[in-house]
Amino acid sequence: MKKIVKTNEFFVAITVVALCLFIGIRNPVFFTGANAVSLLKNSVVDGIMAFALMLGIIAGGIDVSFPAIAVCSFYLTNKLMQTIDFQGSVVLPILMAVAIGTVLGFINGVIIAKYNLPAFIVTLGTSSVFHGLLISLVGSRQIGRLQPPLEEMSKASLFTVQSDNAVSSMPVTFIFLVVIAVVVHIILKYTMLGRGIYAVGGDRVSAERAGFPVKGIQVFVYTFIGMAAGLAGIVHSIQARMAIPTDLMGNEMLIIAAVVLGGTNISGGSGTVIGTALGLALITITKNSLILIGIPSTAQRFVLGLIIVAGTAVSAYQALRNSRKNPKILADTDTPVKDVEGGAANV
Amino acid sequence: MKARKVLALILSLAMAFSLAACGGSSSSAAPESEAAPSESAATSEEAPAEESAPAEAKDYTIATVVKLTGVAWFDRMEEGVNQFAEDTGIDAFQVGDSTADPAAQAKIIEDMIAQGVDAICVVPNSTESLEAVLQKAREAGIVVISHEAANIQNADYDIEAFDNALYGEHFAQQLGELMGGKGQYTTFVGSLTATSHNEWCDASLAYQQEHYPDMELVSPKNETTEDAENAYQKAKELLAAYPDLVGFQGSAMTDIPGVARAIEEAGLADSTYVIGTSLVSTSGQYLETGAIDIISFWDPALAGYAMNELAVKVLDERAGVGEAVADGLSLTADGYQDLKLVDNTANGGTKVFYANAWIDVTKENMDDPAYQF
Repeated sequence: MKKIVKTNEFFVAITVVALCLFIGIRNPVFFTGANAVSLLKNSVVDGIMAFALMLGIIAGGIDVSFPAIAVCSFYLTNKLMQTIDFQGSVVLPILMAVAIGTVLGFINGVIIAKYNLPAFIVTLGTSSVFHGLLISLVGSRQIGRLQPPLEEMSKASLFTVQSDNAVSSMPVTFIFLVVIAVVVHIILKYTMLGRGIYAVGGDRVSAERAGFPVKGIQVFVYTFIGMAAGLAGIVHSIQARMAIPTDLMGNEMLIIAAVVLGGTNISGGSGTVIGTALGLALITITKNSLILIGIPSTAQRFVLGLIIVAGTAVSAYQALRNSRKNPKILADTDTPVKDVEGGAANV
Repeated sequence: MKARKVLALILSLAMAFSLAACGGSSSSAAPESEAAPSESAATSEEAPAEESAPAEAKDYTIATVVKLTGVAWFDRMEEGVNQFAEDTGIDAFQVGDSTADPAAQAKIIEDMIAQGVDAICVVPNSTESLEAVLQKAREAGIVVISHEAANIQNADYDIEAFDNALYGEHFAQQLGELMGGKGQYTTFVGSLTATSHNEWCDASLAYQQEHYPDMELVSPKNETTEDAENAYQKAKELLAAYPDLVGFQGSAMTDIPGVARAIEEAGLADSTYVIGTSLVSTSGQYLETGAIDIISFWDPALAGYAMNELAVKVLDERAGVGEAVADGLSLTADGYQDLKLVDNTANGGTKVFYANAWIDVTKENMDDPAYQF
């Protein structure tokens, strides 16, 4: 019990609950089922990207090119589907978008791992290369209407919740968010690869000497982010029922903020799926409740920024306290890294 | 280690190149512009100017610098600019950055000055951040024509498809009639700093307060960042926060399709009224279902055509040929006849021409081939 109280997740969870209570008291509509479904639905695209990005940040890296990868994936896919007047199963365009994302992410990974370059600079560069190439080579005409299979998917829902006069339906795409979260959780918690990701982010040299394939792990992480970005991109265009190549660009900071808010150490070595889910919840709830509590649109950006600054400050303070108390690297990742620590100590 | 340095160099070069490529995208815009007419050849032929007035091709070079490329709006404007070039034989072309970044736009204008064009037609992202570079252009003897920037200082003329206040009032009038003069409504803007969106919303509110006092504006100017998904999310939240909300007025092209999706999901298409600026290609599917009631727009192809026509008139006047550029001027682009001139030079502004070139489209006339862009 004491252990739970001291974790980052606990503090973020408290903040989320406090925020919910505050909003709910100001406007009871917040606590309706329809609103809950709306919030979950609105977190799908950001969430898929946040969970994948978390892997990169835990491994001591960063990726700012994922919105560009997402745009390339959904725009190329929709453009092709439109050109061939695609009428088949929706699985094909989704797989295509995921494949494009995977390839672009792999390019990031290879450049970063092989030449040992700073991930921030590399992805900043590839972000404008990917997006620039898309706009100049493929074109930039907005696609105002998707092909019928994709449009049908955007109208399909898992279930619909009605409360008072508000109706919200949970889109099928929500399954993707759950799958990504579960996959990331399993990788981190139960696989050697996951231990490697924590180890590389905690102390790269130690991880190398402990025998982890550091470069391989890096390539995997950026490829995974690319794959998830491809998926998030096609989901975005399905939900929006259009494909506009300027969408999503500029969203990277909000998603990095969600990951860091959730207690992931920005310099690597720690972070959990639960934490990121909570950070994501904090951002999504704030973003989608300011009208409910009557904050005028001119002040909404300011309030969102305030919540991010306050939230990350708490997370950072918590991390600082942990590292003071336990200066050993890889401190606050629980069980999986025990044996890594042993290996590192021998060096 | 050496390989690493080389790669770092290549990468930073690639970055610099890609940024530069965004800037001087006259080359990168070219393939798109060639692709565009084939997609909508039927419309681009009949859209602007039935007659091509100038007999001999004049030796002018005119650059049209737009907010950004990659949106249907400016793709369409490019069709008008290309049509103008084809009709007149004048070297007219369109350039723009892939993002709506004022600094990138200023850089493109710098490039155009360096190239020595005769006239620059510009649709600014932000008038303030372009004043310096436009002043430089005018000092270099280049004619500057702006569009969607009535408050600009450093332009020879600004030309507007309509008076923003009248356009805003026409929304309030539509909404007032649809809602029977009572009930709650809300407004959306693409960005809180977009001058035109703000002027439409302000004029609409003023008209509503005067003519439909029983209507109430709630949560004004919701910001969508021109993303339909954001418009959808805000509309859902608004419907939850204001159960009696029945009217929606959008400003950015992607505002009302997003709103309409939220309304369809809630099954409120029949009991709500959605109007605003949009295009048939973006909002057609919601006009069909009745989720959107009326969309309004002006044809950017005609605006692009008219800007270039005006630039030629000013260049001709300077060269001592052709008629004087004055109030009541008529251009050949549809809706740009008998323009009203407002002279703001006394208080530091520029001379602004206003046309009456907006178009209202409902379910009934949405299939008109002239509107398919």
